[in-house]
Amino acid sequence: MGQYFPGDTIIHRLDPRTKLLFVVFYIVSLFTAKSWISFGIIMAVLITAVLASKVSFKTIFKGLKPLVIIIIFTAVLNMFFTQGEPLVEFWVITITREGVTKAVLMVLRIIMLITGTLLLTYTTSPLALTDGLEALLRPLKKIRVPVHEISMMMSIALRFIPTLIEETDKIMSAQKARGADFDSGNLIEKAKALIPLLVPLFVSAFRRADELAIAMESRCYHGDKGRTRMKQLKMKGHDYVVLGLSVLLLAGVIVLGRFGF
Amino acid sequence: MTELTPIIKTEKLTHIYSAGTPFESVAIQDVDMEIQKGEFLAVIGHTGSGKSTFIQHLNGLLKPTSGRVLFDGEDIHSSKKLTRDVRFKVGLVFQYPEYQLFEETVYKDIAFGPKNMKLTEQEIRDRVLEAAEFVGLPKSVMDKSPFDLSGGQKRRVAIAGVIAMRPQVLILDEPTAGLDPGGCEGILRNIRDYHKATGSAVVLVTHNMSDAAKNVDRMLVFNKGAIAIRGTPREVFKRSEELQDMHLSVPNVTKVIMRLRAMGIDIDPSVYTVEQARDAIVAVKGGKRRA
Amino acid sequence: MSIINFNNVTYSYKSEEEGISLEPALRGVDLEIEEGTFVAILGHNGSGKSTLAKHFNGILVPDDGAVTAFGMDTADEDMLIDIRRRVGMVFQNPDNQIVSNVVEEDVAFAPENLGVEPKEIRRRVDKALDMVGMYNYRLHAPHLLSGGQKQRIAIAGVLAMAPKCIVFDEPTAMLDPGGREDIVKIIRELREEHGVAVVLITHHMEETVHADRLIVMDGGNIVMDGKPCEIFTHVEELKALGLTVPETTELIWELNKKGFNLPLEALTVEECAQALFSVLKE
Repeated sequence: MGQYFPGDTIIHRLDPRTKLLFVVFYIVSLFTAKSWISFGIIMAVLITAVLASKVSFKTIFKGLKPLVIIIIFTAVLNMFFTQGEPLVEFWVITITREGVTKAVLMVLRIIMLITGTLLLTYTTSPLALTDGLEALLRPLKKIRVPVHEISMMMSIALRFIPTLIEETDKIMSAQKARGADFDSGNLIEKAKALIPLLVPLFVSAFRRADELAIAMESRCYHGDKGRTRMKQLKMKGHDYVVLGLSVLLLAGVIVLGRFGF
Repeated sequence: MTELTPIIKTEKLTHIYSAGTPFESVAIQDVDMEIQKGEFLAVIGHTGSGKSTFIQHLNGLLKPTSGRVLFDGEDIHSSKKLTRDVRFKVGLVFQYPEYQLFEETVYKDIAFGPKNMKLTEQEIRDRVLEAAEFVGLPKSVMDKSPFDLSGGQKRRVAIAGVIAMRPQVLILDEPTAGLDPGGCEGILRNIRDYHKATGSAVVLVTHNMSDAAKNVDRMLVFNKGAIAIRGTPREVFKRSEELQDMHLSVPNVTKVIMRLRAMGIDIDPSVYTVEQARDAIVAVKGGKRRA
Repeated sequence: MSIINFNNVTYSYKSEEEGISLEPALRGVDLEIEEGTFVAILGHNGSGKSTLAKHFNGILVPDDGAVTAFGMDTADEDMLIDIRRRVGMVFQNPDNQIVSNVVEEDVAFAPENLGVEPKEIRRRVDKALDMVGMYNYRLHAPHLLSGGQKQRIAIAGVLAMAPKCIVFDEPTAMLDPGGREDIVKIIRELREEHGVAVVLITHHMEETVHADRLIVMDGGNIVMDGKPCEIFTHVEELKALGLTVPETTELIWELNKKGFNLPLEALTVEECAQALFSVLKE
């Protein structure tokens, strides 16, 4: 999840704001869609985007894997608990025709939802993503939402995740060398065994935070007042085209819905 | 050196990270070596030479991709119980070990290892106090929080935590990193005393050539995942040019002697301390006088 | 011309329990740093050298006395940004100074904070990365670089502010010998080729050999101040302060005890070898 695969495709080159807005329109369309035709159209858009991004379907399947249980759970829930014309009946369980249709649509919806967001994180660097988010949410500043601070926190968190993972590994090895056992025992014992890992990790995280704050102040950080950016976000022709298409997609799905599709 | 009985032996030890993926990288390859009972050994190598991967095999933290690690003649991965026992018999002090402290008191932190060995309270107490003495920690700090101590003292607590397991082999990865000259010398003195008093084998892992040379009987120099040079410090420093090619910083006195040799002075090349350099220069001067 | 002035600076860290002041870390320090010079500050742990470092750009403010940088008092909060853009700081742990997960974005951080025009930021970032020899890594993720490379990124991040003075607080303490050499070389270039004043705080003697001026601290005060070759002639006093002298100096000192008559100020390997050669070739 959240991994970024650098590349130089049209999808990679889109402004992060365009991609974020596209994903919003795409998700709303997914939840508005009721019919097979609408789903087919959205699916075609998604597949075009995946092909254009040169992200392999294998990578996307890998990203979907951790969510298999949720997908199966949704399918089962919809299949067994929807009223309608019975298809199969045994013991207390009834599977209805409506149930099967609903289950398939729900599963499709979830898979397409996740694939769309995966494509966003796969093709957009975390930094561009936070920048895009900050720019889109800027109007919220008027109502005193600390947009800049939130986005700064996000990008620092992204920066330190690999460092802290590495540190976790190191501390774990060091405690194992003193005979700590993280694998065996019941749940309570396992939780207790984590103390020698978590305490040093927190101590270190606080120390890092302190030092980082001093280093940032020494580099003249004082919030976003008067702050400029090296890389200005800039909407180009293809951004407007993609935005137009995503509006069109949503409008199309709504109109089709009106006509009963 | 004491009698030559290997306590640890590696046979064709190879470790490949992320084997079978596009990120595959060979850390060490076909390493054969022995650690003798009671010897003082240095493992040298620049960052990325494979030395860190290597030492984590000696106490079974890493599993070889191929090859074996033998402790007292037995493969340490032959049974789960043996792997766990070896953790205690081969004590490993990581780099910047002070970052692993977690207990409320110094005493409890040092006792963590012995407790995991399921020893009696009395035995734990004896070992903790003995270990604290080896690293020069005063009794007065035993009930303090380790987080209130100075950097140098924290490191001593962490080292004591491993010594308290009474390992037959003590491995220390860069034990003096980041300390000032006084602190470095203090820690090294403690380690020397510990080696003398217990007769355990000690392995000093470092990229500081002079620290290593001044203390150990034998050196292994790692380069590109294999042992490139092995021998006594004098034998190793005879090959100073090679050491420099491996991005190891030889002591400045060695560089001075190398420079003199390049200028055509016939002087002993196996020099790595100020005293040796002084004696070598006095010898050359004396020789000239006699001639 | 002096750019930074310490005037009778005293500082004590405050204990967490209120009202209790700990032992003073600085006791009435007077110090002037000249424009474009390389000043090294030596001292064992606890000598007050790191506390001193934190006073250069107002991270700490004196309890008593005053620090002025480019004529501005570091105690004046309105002046802090103006002081910090002129006096950069590089710290010990490179990991904890890098804010971004792309090298060039990190280097851009300071000029962005200063509101520099985007085009000018780009120019400064490229120049700073070039100065530390990391231009080819501009799109890399910092966490995949070595310690020495990360520290070079941290230096580039400070250089991008175009400071007149950079204070290095034990920049090599966590690096391996290769990384350490790179950093020392960059520090020398800053002073020699770019005219930036450098204050290097360290406990590695060899790193101070090329300094214009060497200051030794002990017990929160300056105890020696002079040219490195002069300071290092005081072999015994330095040892008493828990410091060592460069091996070259120690070798010459030892040889002189044996009746040689060699110059103690031959500090570098080359100077030392030359001095010995002239004695041995006869």
